[in-house]
Amino acid sequence: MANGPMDRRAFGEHPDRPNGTVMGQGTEYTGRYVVLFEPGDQESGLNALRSSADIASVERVRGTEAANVAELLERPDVSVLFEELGAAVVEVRPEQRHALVTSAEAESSIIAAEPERMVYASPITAPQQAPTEFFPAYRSDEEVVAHHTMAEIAAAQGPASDEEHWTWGLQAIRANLSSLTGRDVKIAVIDTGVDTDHPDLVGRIEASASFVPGEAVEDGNGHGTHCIGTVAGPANPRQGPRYGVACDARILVAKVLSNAGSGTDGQILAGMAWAVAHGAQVISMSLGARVRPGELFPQTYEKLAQRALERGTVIVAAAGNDSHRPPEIRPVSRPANCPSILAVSALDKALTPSFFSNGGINGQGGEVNIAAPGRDVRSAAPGGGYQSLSGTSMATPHVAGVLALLAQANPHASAADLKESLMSGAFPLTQPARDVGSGLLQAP
Amino acid sequence: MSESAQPAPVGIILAVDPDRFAEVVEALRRAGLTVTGEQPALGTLSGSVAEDRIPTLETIDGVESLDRERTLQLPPPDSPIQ
Repeated sequence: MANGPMDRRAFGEHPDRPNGTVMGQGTEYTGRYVVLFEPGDQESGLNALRSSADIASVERVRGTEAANVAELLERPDVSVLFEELGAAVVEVRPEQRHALVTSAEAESSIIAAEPERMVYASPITAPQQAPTEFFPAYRSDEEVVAHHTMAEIAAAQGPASDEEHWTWGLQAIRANLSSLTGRDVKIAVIDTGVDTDHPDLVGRIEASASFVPGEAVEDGNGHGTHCIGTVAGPANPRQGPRYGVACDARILVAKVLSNAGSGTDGQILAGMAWAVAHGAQVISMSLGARVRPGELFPQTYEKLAQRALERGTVIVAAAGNDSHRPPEIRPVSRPANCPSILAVSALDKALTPSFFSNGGINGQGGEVNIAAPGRDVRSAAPGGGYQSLSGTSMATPHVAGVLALLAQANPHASAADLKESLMSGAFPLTQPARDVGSGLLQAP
Repeated sequence: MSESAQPAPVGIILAVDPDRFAEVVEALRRAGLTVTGEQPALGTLSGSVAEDRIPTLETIDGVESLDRERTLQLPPPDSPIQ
């Protein structure tokens, strides 16, 4: 699968650069230094750096000569002085970095010298669209800004094609960088049941119930087992990459869809109520039924969802797969179209909406709230194996898993708090909010 | 199908006032609802009723919503899109 459109050269793979890049404390450095000089006395500062740190020869650039700056900056044998700015990007050999910093501190004509950081402007993130939902309120919060910066780097680097250790979905949502596991958080998956003998899930099922007449909770379909795997598959699966988001969460299984994949609203309501009664903090529902453009959400589901929220349960549901992009975009299915249920759309590996993913055509709850990996998603299959499936059904359990991580990190948070954290933590994408809501799901 | 003139029952789901759940459900039964499932803690229930009785059910005090029940169907398990 193709990577994102970003030029990977910017990410440290400079075969012609002996320095390479430097990673530290989650920040990526170029190996160069940005030096700010006292206005009017740039020469003293440069001379100090030349003599003490043996910096590369200096090319001077003025504003009107910008055309070849990029090329100059790429050259390891050239430092670039921006005369009008009184600033330089300085090339220095690794063993001279300490000397450069010491010299800069001692030299009165140098105001500051900092390692140059990697900053990425990618087609995914630039131009920065006006973020939706809660994001603006967090602009002054350093931690959140840092989080977004990390997310920006992840997004700019493009989705991983290497799934040796982690599925591309877990990498895209940064679950591979999170130390949270969802420990002690209960997640209910309302679906076709579960393969109770799957080696990756044995011992992980806290409770289960079937609301399908005449069928046990055992998954004769595969849909439920796949979704459960994505929500809470183990840290060390029997085979292949890790694919589960909340690897220590406690799993509640409500079977409301038959082995043939069908179920009624009544069975689903029963499963939801069972989950709430069992203390589920998250309900994941990879199910839905088509609605027409303009159709109102089902108010009975909305009432139930409101009451569940009051009891501390967040409900996420699949936006549905009825679209055929381009150009046909179908509205978010029910019950995901309820205002109190989070609707999840699906992204491809390129972090663009999957062709089948429904959009926010209808108002009043019919919006997409958040987007998550939903294409070629590997997870558990009945019989002890694995399979890759696509759909908003696969995107939804990623969100449920992240909610469990948030619940673990914030044990006293209300359901409303968790929803807000989820939405504000999403990474804004340039695609329309109609298709991706607040953006790409991100693990805390 | 039934030979009577009665319309075939249709499935519905309802939300009612959870604080007087039993009382409202009893009124719904008297108005013709056959209850197939109930969730008292969250104040919802499902059932079937003759279609022409639906307007009557909607007017019962304590009934907050009434939706026609639908059946959801997943794609076949071998479909690449789920």
